[in-house]
Amino acid sequence: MKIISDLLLMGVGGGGCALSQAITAKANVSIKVLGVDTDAMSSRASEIDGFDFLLIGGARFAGHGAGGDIVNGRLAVQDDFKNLDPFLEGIRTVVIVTCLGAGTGGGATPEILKYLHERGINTLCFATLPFEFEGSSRRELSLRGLSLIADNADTLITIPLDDLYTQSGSDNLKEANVQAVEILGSGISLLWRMLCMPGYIQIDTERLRSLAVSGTKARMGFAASDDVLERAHLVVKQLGDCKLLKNPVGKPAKAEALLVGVIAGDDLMLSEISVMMKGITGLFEKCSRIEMGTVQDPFFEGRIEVVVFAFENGSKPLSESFASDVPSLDQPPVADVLPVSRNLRKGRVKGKVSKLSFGPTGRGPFQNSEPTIYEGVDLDVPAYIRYGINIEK
Amino acid sequence: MRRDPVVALEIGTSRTVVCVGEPDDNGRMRVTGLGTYPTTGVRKGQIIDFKQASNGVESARVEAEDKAEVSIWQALISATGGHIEGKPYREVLPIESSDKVVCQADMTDLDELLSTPPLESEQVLLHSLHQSYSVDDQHGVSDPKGMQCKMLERSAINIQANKNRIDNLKRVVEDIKMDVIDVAFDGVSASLAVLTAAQKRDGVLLIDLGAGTTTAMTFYGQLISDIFCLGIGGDHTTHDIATGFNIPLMRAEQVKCKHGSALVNSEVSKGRIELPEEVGFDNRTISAKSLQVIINARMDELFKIIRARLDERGFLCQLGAGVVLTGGGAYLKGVTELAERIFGTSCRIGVPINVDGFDNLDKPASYATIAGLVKYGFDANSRLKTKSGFWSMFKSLFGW
Repeated sequence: MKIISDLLLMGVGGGGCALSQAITAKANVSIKVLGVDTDAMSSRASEIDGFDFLLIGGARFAGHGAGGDIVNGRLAVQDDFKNLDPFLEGIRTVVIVTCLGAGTGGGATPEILKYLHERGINTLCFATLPFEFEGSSRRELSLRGLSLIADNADTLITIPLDDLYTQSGSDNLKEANVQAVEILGSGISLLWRMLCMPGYIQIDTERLRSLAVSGTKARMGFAASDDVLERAHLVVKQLGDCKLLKNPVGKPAKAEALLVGVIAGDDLMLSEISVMMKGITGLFEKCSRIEMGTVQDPFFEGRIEVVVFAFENGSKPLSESFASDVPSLDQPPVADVLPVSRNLRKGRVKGKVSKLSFGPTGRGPFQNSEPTIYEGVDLDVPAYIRYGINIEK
Repeated sequence: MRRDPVVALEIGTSRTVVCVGEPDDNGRMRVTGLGTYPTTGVRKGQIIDFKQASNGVESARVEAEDKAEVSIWQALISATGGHIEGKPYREVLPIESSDKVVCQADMTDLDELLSTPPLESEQVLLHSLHQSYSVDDQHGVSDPKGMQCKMLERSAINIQANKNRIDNLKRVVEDIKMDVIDVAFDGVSASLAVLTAAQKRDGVLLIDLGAGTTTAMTFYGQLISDIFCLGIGGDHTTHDIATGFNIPLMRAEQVKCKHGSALVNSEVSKGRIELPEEVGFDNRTISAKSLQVIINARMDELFKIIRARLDERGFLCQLGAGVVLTGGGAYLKGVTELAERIFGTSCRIGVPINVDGFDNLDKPASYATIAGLVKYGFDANSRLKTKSGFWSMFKSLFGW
């Protein structure tokens, strides 16, 4: 089985490891997967082929978890950054899956994203938000982590568990859980299949990168049908009803770019693709760019599964996404100059003022003294500000 | 027979200390007078207000004079700051005698060559710390005298500082009519006071956590293997707290000392800390956890910078005797545990053991530099004994 060598799936925290395990099982392709957690129990997933596990903060927490504290999660990964390096060899895009609400996911994920960003690696982050019934403290904790992730991820896909479980259509906890994991696992694993086992309409990692590098928020919707006659129409209807693709007031979310993945057997018809694409485009009228790919697998004979990634902000066309990296004409042509843009990326431009910004007066008593600069960082600026830690007053 | 005392002066970022020490009958140094005064004209170990710094030295001197019953007009001073760095340096001497045997004269010539390294105009040499000799292509020779070779090489670590900063330090002292006998790097001084020969042999990291600067010195096989000075200290932690909670620096310092911790303890940190009302400051509460998070972020970063440096140079695995913390920052709650986690070895607070008289003081590790400076002066006595001036630096108030 082919392994996409420059793509890594990383599960962060207990929930992230479990989800990435489910995705690996579902994908039916060899995926490079790394589970990262403070709890040694998560390493049991490493028994699955291709699943590597990295215990972080072992010296601090002895493998017993971060105790639901995002600060502990942050410290844990900071201790062990260097241990990530062997897994990042040759990697250009990392898809992170994490479940917010506990310590490791919310604390370690932003730090990992920062670390990857410094190495010029693109990141696509799937973050689930806890159920409403889990209480306000967990909700607040997850939102704090989420804001830091949003600042550091190239693309963030937020999935409220309430919406995901509603989508599963079952009230039974066990069944709903299975269904929810199935939906999420199918959606993300379809992304892998599009890249690993392309059908006649292909999508490659560069197209994914061109969508993912724009520093945006995205939503993911998933639909599937076994109805041989009406499956294309049913899939469109399911996507239209999909809560994951709707904004908080229940209307279809605004999307300027779409990535559509279709998986089916060899019986997939062109007319069906046409129906689905028309229907999906109709759901997102203001969408200016659509990328799609198909996967044909005999195992899916009679069935269609569709995953839709709706990117909120305008993602650049592929030609533009590398515009800044294109060499000038007076430079000699180099075959790999376009794809290889590691460590050349400039800081992400966000519409809002970064939480890390710090005015000139913030150096306080050190304002008029010689700054302490270490490896380009002004250490006179409070450490918690430089690390983007929110302080509860 | 009464021997002459040694006077040491440390113009620290938070306080100025003048210490008078005298050797006892067993040849150990004992403190006979100590004067301290809060410093206001120094930041990150460097003079920013000449007059205020000078007044601080004067006040500390008066107190030390009263306690030791001496008149002080000469002193050894300690220097610190991010401008100080340790650079490896070596000199080679061809052995020109007909038998090619290294004699004492060769070694003296080599010492002189090492003591006058080529420096940039704005640099000054504080110390040249011996590392080892090489005899032709044989390295790691501890005593080459009597050995036969063509070339004798000696390697050292030169501790260099910015000349203007050192001159300004001297001028502060000279402003109150005191002479500066010598200037010593604070890390070297602290190591003289708190480290044992066994620790230096087995490998130890000494971190002096000062108010304005942090100094890290690594020893292995009785030799100094690395010196690192960073302009980050306890004042930065205080500033972080003041910024985080929007409170005055003085309040932040009080909160740090009373409630601060370098570790985030989920049990302790659940509550809130009450800041009582003062003039111009309403009473309020702050989150105990946030306080710990702010301090932890700073201390964690500081230790990790030092660890990365040691790791890069291959010294991290040579810390058999662990980590020793000195300076006021060593008394921050949880700091030794944090250091243990980050450096992966044992850590303890280093109190002056090679100089007597500090046992009854509050936070004796914060006096490590001044204690070591006294010992430095005592050790230097034997070398300088014959030179005029040094022994006439005191005149007794009471006629001895």
